[in-house]
Amino acid sequence: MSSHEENELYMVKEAQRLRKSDPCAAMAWIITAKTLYPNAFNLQYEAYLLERDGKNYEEAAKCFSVMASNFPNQHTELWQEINSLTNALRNENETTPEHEFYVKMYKHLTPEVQHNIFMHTINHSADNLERVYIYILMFNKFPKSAITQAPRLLEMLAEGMKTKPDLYQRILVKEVLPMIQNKPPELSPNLACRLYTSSLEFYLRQIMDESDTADAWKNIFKVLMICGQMMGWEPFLPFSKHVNQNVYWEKLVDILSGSPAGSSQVLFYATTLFIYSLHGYIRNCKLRIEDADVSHVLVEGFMEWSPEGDVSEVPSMEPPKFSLTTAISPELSKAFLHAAQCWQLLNTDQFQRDFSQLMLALPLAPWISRFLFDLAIYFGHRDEANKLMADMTTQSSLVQSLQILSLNLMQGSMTLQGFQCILKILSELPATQGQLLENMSLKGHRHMVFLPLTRSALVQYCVGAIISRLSCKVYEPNCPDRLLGDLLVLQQLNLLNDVLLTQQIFNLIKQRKSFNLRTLSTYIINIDLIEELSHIWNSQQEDNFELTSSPISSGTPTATTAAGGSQSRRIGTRGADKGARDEFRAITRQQIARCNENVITLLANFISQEHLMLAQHIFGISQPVETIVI
Amino acid sequence: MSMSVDSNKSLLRKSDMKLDNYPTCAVEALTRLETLIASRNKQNMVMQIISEFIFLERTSKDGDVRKSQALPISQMNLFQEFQLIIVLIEYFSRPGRDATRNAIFLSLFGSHLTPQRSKLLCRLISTAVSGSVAPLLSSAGTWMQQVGCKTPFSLEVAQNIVSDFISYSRKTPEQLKQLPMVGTHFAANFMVAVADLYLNEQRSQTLNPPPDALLDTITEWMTENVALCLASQQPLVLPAGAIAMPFTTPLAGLLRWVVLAPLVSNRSAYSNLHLSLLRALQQLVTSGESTALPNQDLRQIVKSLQSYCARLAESNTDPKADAAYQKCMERFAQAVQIALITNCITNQIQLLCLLESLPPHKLMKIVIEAHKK
Repeated sequence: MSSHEENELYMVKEAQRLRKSDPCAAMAWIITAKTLYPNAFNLQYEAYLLERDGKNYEEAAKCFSVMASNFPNQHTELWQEINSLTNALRNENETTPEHEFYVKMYKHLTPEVQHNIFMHTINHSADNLERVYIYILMFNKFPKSAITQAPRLLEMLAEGMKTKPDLYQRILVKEVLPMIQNKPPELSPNLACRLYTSSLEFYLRQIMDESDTADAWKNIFKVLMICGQMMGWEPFLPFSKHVNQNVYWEKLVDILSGSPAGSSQVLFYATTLFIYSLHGYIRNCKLRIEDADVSHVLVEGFMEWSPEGDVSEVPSMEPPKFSLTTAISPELSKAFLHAAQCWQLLNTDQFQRDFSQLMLALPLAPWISRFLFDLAIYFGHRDEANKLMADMTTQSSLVQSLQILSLNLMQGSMTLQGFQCILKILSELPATQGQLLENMSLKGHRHMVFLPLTRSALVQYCVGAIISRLSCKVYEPNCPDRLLGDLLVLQQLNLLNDVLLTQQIFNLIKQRKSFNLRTLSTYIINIDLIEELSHIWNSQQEDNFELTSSPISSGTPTATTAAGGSQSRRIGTRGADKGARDEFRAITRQQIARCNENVITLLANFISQEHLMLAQHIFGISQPVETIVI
Repeated sequence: MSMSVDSNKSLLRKSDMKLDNYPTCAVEALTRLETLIASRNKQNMVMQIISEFIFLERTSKDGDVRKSQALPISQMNLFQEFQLIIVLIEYFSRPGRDATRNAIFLSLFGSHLTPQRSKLLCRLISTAVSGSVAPLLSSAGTWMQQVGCKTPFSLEVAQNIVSDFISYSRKTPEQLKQLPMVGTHFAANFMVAVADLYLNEQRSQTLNPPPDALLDTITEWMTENVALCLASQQPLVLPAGAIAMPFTTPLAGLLRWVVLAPLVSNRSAYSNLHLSLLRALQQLVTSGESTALPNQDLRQIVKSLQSYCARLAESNTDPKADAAYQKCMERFAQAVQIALITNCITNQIQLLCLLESLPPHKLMKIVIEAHKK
């Protein structure tokens, strides 16, 4: 050590010795020493410590400035102080005296020194995250520096996302983007697109966790705008909840027409729009009914059939319509169609590859698989739909059964599996009652329906499915008597639906002069039907109108055992003694008393209880009937 | 009003000679003095009026004061003294030109200062300090500088203030603490005077430290107003024809205090004072003529240290092992270093040689070596 250094050390030690007991004497040493060795770091540092301990902010700032300017790269003590300073600035809400000191001292530093401190910390820190935080701090204090330094920070964020995506995405979205949104710097397209994708990922995760979704789309559109500005794109539209999605689509088409093939601008705008529509679709599939969240499922609607209709008519190749069965059907159908539009655009050759890569990065798998399935059934691609069914792992068995049933209807015939699904659905009916839906049938055109998962709607669908299979059989010769009765029971759900069919059934009943007693006494509660049957009974006094009880099918519990055992029972009009008339009247009275029963529950029970019989009707299986295992 | 001098005088004589008109005659005298002082050849007249009508002095021999060589004796009783003080306070509190005020003050107290006038002056100044009478203090500061801060008269004033405000009061009055703000110039000169009273082997056999309260007050002054030492550099507002006396900063005297203090006291206030002195030295920009630290003052310090070391030698103690001596040298070296850097010392080589003659101290050695080149 040279004699100078020795002397320096001697004086520093004297000052240190006195620092606590006699700070004035310590300062006297330092003042003197600085005149002898103005360029010694440890003297400056000791002076700084003295001022710091004495809470002399201005003086401490001066010492600090000298050190930071003259000794930028060397001493660990200086780095410690710089770190303490930047830490204090980052946590400005803490109120320890230490923090207060650093914050106050910082204010006395010249802007140049302030800025240099940040730059030096950034350049010397090995920790990426630390550098990011310092950058953010610097941008907060020196907004102008953001313009030149922002690209470097954004690169660091992109780098950090490789190892800690959650953390860095959050920093990007919550802290950095708001800072640069007024004047986004120019960035390489790669980086800007990566940042957009990351932000999108972040917000989508938030939406899917249902954590704070209020402004999520507004923010996503904002980020899209910022990234677009960074790449010099034509701006898209700002987000507004009240804007019709058509407007967005039209803007997209406009941009598309003016862009080269496969342009990333179109890709990103279209992808954003796609996800937006998709989210609207998926989200709105749940609605609040009677204090419960009720899902809606897209299913095949019923086609009206008339005996005179041309069965050989080729089904229209146009995509199906959407029937307005519920209040939100219009919204759902719109969202669905928009998503479909975007999807088709993004799957054209120019975008397909980039789009699928983009999708891989985003956590949208459950939404996509549901959407693709619905898209398949919309377009009537049965095989595709069956294949996709396997991908949908988050569906409840109720929804799955419903979808299988819907596919059955699409192909125009009922399979055993479809029928089993009906039984399954009825065994898993939810608690929400709901209402009957309108517009479930359409003439001449395939149509889709959004079915809410309520008791009423589900039973309505099942009943409708069975009726659609059975109604044509009424016009066939030798239609079984039982079928007529069962069909009447089912029609009780909505007698006005197919008046012609009802009439045809009654014609046949009148012709055959027979009706199943058990069916009547167990399941017919509709006043109009009871009236009609009474009328037939009363007007057929000369002919013998008989109410018969068919033998009890194996495996089905019977509601009435009045008939007694497995004997056939008959009540006839011919030669009806008072006993028969009274019995009939008693039965009708009994049924009329039940006219306010819940039809939905009645029919659900009917189908479950009589499923063997119904299966026979549908599949034409003759007796004996094997027990159908559900 | 244009009157002849004689008629002026006779006017006075005729109407105001009566004692029961005091202090009215003093007031009138002061007013007339203003015009008289302006003219050069009226000095005798001025002195006469002051003597007769203000201080009520008479000579023992004959009525002609001009010819008398004997010291005039004041006939004032205590009550009249009290009245005069009031009159003077009131007079000097009136708005007016600094030059006039200073001229009057100097005429009153600048020369022919009898013991009685001196006593009155001390009381006048103490009163002015108590009452924070800024204009009077300003004149008093000018007077002190002109007369010389270390002359017996100034020292008496300083001693008086110490007695009035420090020795005989339990708590240092606010007025004394605020003195630098009320009368900066006076405070600075007062410091020069009071510094000479303590820790001064030329005045007393042993080193007597200043009273604690005085030390604290001075320390507070220096810490709060580092520029106080520059106050003396402001030009004096003197009557025409007067030559301004050179200023002395209190730094030299106070330096002697802090350097020699460890020999008699451990009070931490000295440490504070020392730091303030160093800072003051750093801020000093000397213009060449007067130095902040006159060589003779520094020599005085060295001499005291030498006699201390001689006493150590008698008891076979090595100065290196003596904490007090080491502390003294530490402070001395620090001050010398700063003073050399800021050009506050003239004959550097001489001083360095002198310092080398003292028993060694590490810092002093460093300083000497640094400047010997």
